[in-house]
Amino acid sequence: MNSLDLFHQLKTDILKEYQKAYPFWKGTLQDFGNKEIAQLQDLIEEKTKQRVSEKWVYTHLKPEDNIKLPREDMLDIFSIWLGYSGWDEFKVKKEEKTSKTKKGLTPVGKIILVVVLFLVILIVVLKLSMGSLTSNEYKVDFRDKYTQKVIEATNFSIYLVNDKDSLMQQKINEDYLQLNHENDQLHIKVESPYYRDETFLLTPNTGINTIYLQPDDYAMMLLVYMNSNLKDWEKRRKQLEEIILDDAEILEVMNEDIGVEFLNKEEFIDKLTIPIESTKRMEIIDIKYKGKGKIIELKFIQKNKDE
Amino acid sequence: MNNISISKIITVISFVVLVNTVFSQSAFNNKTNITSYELSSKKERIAYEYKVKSKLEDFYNYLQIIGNPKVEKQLREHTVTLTQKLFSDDVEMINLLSESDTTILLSTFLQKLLYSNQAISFSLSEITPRFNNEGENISYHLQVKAQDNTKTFDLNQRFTLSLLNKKFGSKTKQVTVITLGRIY
Repeated sequence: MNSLDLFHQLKTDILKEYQKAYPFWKGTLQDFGNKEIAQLQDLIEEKTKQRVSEKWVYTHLKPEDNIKLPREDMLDIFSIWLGYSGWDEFKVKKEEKTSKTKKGLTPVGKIILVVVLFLVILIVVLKLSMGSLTSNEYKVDFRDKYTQKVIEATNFSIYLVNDKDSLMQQKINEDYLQLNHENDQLHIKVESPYYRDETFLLTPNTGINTIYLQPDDYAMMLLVYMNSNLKDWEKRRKQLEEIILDDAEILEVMNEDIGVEFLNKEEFIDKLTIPIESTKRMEIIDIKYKGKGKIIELKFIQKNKDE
Repeated sequence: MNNISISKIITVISFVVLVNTVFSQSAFNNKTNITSYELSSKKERIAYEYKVKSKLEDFYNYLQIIGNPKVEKQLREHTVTLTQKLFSDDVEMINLLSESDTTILLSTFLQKLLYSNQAISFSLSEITPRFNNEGENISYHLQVKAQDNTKTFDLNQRFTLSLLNKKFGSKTKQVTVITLGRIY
């Protein structure tokens, strides 16, 4: 069983666990809409005190087939939610189960399997014990640089610098986010569709580190326009003309990352000029810039009415 | 002929020119219709059904703006253009402003709505897109309110899924588009 098979198994178990809380849901993960995703996010947060982003669910859980394995830290969160100590234990348990059902292993094969399992368990135990002994605690409070208001944890992702695949697990407390890591200093990168990507150096055990994120002015402007009224519509058109490149592609995505509508610059401006119900339900999930900082690509989803 | 009459004539001519321009722009000369069979998966079909529903809601949201005399005229006129872009052609539709079940061209209906002096609201329910071998169709229940007068309709509307070579600045890309059609 390779890593992707194990991830597929994890997804099956996630659906079963979700159905324990919502037994009337008869669909699959691929059928998950925004409502089901929000319910899943809440269930996970309730048990693990960590929140997974909607974007992550769209990217990794909803597709029927996955090309690559998601970040291990995220797999840890889901494994913990399912009652395991982490992804490593999940893998071991599932592989054990598979090996029990397999017949015809040669004696040498069995010995190799036992040794490998022993080594994996040893690594897991060592990793867990080292982690718990040497882990430093970083408390962070993310705020908007302009408004000084606290930014919701779902609006950004934190990565370890120089380690692209390492998404930091966040423990959400009342007044701050908690990050745990064995490093004596933590160099993190914060990414968000509505704030500029920035890196920060954190010091452990020094109280709450307040970090101010610089809003992405254009993304924020779009957010305001999506929720605006009909006033000043011509002014808004002019401003949108300024910030979007002529060659820009704007994509509305849905289930399994299906692009249901490609809008060009003019169509997107039209859509934002007259803010109707569907415009107010738009949520940016990715934004790319080119040249003099103008928008060249933008992806959005449309939230369900009941959210 | 006094100045007011001349100005009315100019307004009507301008509107007719605008309608022709918009529909000729959205005439999708390079479009290829596709059927539900050509969608690669059930999920893709569900996604497009959801999108059709959303387009229909956009249509009636736009009508509500066009039919609201409190909204500035220029914006209402601009909304007429956006509404026409939801359709591939100047289709026939049930006249939602008439007491009897007569039909009217979309462009004429929009013009009537634009020059209406009373606020008209549209409320949709029971929206059911059908995307099958019998053709693409969406059925819904519509309530139209104008002052104290409320009228309800059980309507059907055609829609089309097409592949279109769309311009993105200097680039052209083949994309799938949904356009609304006849209302009956």
